[in-house]
Amino acid sequence: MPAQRIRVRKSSRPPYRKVLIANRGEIAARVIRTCRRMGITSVAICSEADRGALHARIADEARLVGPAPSAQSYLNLEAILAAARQSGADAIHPGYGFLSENPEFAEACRRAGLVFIGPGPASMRKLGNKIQARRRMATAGVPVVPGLEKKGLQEKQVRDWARKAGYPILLKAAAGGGGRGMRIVRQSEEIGPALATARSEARTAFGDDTIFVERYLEPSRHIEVQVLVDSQGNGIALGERECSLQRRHQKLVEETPSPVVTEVTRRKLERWALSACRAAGYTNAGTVEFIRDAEGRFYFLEINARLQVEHPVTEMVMGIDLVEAQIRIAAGEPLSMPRKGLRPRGWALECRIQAEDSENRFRPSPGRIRLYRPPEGPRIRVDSGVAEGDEVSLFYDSLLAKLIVWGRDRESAIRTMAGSLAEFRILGVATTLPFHRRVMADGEFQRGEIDTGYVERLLNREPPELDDELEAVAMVAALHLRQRGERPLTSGSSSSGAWTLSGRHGQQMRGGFRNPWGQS
Amino acid sequence: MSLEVRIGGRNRRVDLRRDGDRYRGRVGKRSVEAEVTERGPYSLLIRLGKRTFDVTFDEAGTTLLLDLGSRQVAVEIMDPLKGAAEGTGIGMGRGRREVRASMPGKVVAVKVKVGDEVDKGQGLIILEAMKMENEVASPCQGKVVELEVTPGQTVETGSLLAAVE
Repeated sequence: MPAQRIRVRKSSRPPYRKVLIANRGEIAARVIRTCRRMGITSVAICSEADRGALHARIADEARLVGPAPSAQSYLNLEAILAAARQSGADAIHPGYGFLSENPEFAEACRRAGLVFIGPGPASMRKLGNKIQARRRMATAGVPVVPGLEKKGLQEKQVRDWARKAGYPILLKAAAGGGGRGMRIVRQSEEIGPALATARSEARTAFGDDTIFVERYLEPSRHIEVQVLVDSQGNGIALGERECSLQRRHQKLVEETPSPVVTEVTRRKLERWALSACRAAGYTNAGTVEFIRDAEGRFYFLEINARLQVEHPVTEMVMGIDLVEAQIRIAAGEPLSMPRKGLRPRGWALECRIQAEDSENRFRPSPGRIRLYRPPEGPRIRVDSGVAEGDEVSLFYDSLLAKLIVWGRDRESAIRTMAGSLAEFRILGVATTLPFHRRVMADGEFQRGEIDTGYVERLLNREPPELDDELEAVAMVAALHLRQRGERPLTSGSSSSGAWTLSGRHGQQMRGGFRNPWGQS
Repeated sequence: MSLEVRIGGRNRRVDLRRDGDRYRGRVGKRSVEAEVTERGPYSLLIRLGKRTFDVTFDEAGTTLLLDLGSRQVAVEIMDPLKGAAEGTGIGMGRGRREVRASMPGKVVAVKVKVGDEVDKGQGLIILEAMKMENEVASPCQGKVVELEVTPGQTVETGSLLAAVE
């Protein structure tokens, strides 16, 4: 809820005339809308598959940058810079994913005379190497997960270290990201082979096979802190986000504040987050990720040098627009600090609605969206990347929309979310709506007992039975639809003519056809 | 009209009579009286007792996917003679079983050759869509008699991938 005013000093003129958004989907649409509000002309880029996509439709201009595969379009540095040049853009907003954390891109923008709306390439590079980042944080007094970093790490060194530190342990690529070059090891015999595969994966993926080891904390919580740092070096932390509800390292539900973070802990995490940013020379919006072990100890994990998917929950409780803040910071405007600091108001939740069949092991489900009916009401925000009639392509990420709600407290936010999820209807592709509805109704979630093992526990439980009333509704709907269907439902039915009727639409039947059900 | 309906993986007996827009009868042990209003191609309103349910629906083969708001359910009306609904993603021919793509995607790997003996559930092909890889498993034990795809190829929903006999 817009409870507090933007704390970035407002100037009457927009800092830029024209911004190119180097992304697609919901995040491109969301950035375009902030540009519009600020009076900045927006330029979208699109692949051949996205010519008619929502972000290309709502932008002031759209430029084609290549064929459907991302490598040739949304990751095509030259084509994107050419589009920026041709459109006369002053700045580029990278969104998240794609080129957002690529220092070469940030640098190429600078060389081309364009402002890159994000951190500088130097701090991106500093954070890109995880061993270096760990050392920097340790020096800055931010706790890191106990680990072992040595050049040319040998199997025996790992075994000796693990004997003292305890299993499970996690092998990680220094240049890593996206789960590649990462291996969990639960006993000493696995170290040799795991080290070999992690190395070869890291070499192929990043061209650098340096591996380090950390204790693997499970179950754990992932809690991150949003920060803003201006180019004058003033930083503010905007509270935490709880992101533990994950499946295979993919976040599904996020919220702020975290049910386990007290005011004292929040202050500590915010202080650490700002120290971490200072240690990396970081500017603009960033997220400092922490892991919390079962004993409640927090450790630095990494800094995400971009806007996060889940940034809207912070916007809801802080009453600010983080994209506007990013744009103003990139233009050199200083942050104006409120005297008492920013404090969150109420509670915000976000559900990621994806084109994945959550009833079927989250199988991807591309296709045409035949019906798209988002929920409405106060305290409800939907950041959609698609609209009715759009094609969900198999070339890109499956995120369709983010549903974000605000409540006075966690309970009311959950109630609003449950109701909004029930109103939200999407047909044509299978979605994760059923999963989110189940989460909101789940006792463990309602009590805030979420950690990285939660989704697996939930999916291993039998789904609650359909109550009598819903079952009756489903039956009436099914029989009604089958009866008016064009095709015979089943072949060879002899018990009733009703089931072999074809070519009868409900409309026609209501228009005076004899009721095929008769009076049995 | 009495029918067997499969809902959420369980079979239920339904006994409903239609009179105009009204349905009366029994679902399981519950006595039901409901009124149906059609609203456009994908939406029905069903009034049951004091509540009105907004039901959106979609079809996948003989399965109806119903969104009831708080829940989504898959409903299948059973064939009274065969006792099973027809038309799943897998060919039903005797002996030879066809393996078809349940989603569009790109073939990233083919893990078997024609002539290979495979077990039920064994991975045959890996399909990729939306940055995720999914294994297509053999529907039965047998020998791979046909392979219709090669790595790099793009397939549509329903495309024949392989056949196992």
